[in-house]
Amino acid sequence: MVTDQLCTILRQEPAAPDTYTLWLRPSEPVSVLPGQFLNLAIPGVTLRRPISVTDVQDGVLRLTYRVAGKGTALLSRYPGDTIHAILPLGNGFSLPEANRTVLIIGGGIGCAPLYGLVRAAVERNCRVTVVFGFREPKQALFWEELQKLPVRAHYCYDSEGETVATILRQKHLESLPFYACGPLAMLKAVDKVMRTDGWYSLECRMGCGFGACMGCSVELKSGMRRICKDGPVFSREEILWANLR
Amino acid sequence: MGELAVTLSGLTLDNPLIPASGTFGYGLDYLDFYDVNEVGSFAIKGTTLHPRSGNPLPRIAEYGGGMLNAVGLENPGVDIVISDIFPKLAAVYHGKVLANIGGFSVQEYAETASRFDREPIVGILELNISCPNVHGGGMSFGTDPLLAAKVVEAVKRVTAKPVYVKCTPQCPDLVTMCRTLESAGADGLVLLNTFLGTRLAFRTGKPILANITGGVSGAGIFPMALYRVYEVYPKVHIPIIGCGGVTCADDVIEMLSAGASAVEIGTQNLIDPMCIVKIKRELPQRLRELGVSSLQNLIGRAFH
Repeated sequence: MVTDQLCTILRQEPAAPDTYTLWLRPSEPVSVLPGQFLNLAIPGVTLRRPISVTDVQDGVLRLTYRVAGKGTALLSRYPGDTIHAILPLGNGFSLPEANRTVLIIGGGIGCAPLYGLVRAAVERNCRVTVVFGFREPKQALFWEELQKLPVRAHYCYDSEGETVATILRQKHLESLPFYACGPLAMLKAVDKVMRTDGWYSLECRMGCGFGACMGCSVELKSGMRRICKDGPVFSREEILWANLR
Repeated sequence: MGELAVTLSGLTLDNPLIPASGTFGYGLDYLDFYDVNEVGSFAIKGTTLHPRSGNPLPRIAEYGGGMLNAVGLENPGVDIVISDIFPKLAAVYHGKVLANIGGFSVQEYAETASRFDREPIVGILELNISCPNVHGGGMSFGTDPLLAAKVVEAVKRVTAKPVYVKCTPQCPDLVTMCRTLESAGADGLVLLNTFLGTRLAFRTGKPILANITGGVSGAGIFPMALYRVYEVYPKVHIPIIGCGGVTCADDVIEMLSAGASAVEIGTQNLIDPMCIVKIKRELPQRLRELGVSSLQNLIGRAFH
């Protein structure tokens, strides 16, 4: 059930340049699936800010976000102890079946919702390959944590002339079922390389975040779809790239 | 009638709080948050004769006082609304809705209205002649009183339900517009739809909205919307629903004082989906502080 909850801010710290990790405890326990998000009421801006959930442990939600404008800048300096959040929102990833082989592809802050998916896949005894790309090494996220999990993780950096698409080809990963989240240009590049079923998590400017305002509605192959409520995760065959901005 | 009850053209609402069209979908997206029977009524998403996919993304921008939207009347068309959505709504909502109708010709408004006319869940037809986000229709009807009157006359011919007209602040002479609408047979007015505006991205200097312009809404437009209600109320004899930037109980009281019989609340629902319930809880206490037994006694108080 989606609710507007007063959350306690347990901790906030930098994770990389312009990137922060925020730990929240909702007032009521809440079940959040990998790929779902919450809509944070940040004092000082009008609309809420949709931010993906990185993972949940012992009722504590971890968010990883990049400062992209006024709202996230205010959040990174937010001095309060509590904050309102509507959650959980969106459909989330449909998790892989046990013992499958899966590929998880992220770009930049798009890796944020994927860490929880990696953990969920590992818990299901999946053979997990991770390909995460960043602009430069100092922006890398989740490197140390992934080292502790039984996954094959490939990191690449634009500054070193390597993109996730390059890695996918080099390592011959084109035939694995995949999940991807990242900048639109990266997703399009991934789509050109991959030859299997896959899921993309999309983002865009939202009004309400819970499906009422049609502010994030876009025509996909099956018709008009709200990124906030019908998504943000869509299967590969649904996507009409020309309509995404 | 309860202390919060108001009437609109013979329709009694338990309270004057009406979620505005486009911010409440068809009511179903709020079920997670509260029983939608809490609202006085609500205006359904703007509906047209034919399905519309609306504008490209991005459709949403923001400013200090609220937001801009350029959804562009995305809707599945009147037939799907009636056949697929109304039955789901009727299962959970026992009141009547304002059926917000958009259109691109006089005939289209009339045709859509005639289909809604047969629906018991529709209490009022709300003609949207004020959408700033579609081209060749919408707002162009709302700035030309003669054209707007033709829409009202055509719709009145095909329906027995009360017909309200949602006006645009882009109309250069709103008083003349409203008087013309009244003469044409409009049963009520909704003042106002959004203001036309834009935002440019910091890095590129280019418009944020794919449509370039969007409808400006939110707390920042409240004084302007309030003034239009205040300006029009003494000049017409039909009820006015005040709309624009209402966020709290005191804004509701102010709108009623200016002459509104009820209020529509839009953007605030997106920011705080519980706002209608919160305002409804606040109103009785504010009434007591004013020593007033019924909200209806506040209507047009500015002129008493």
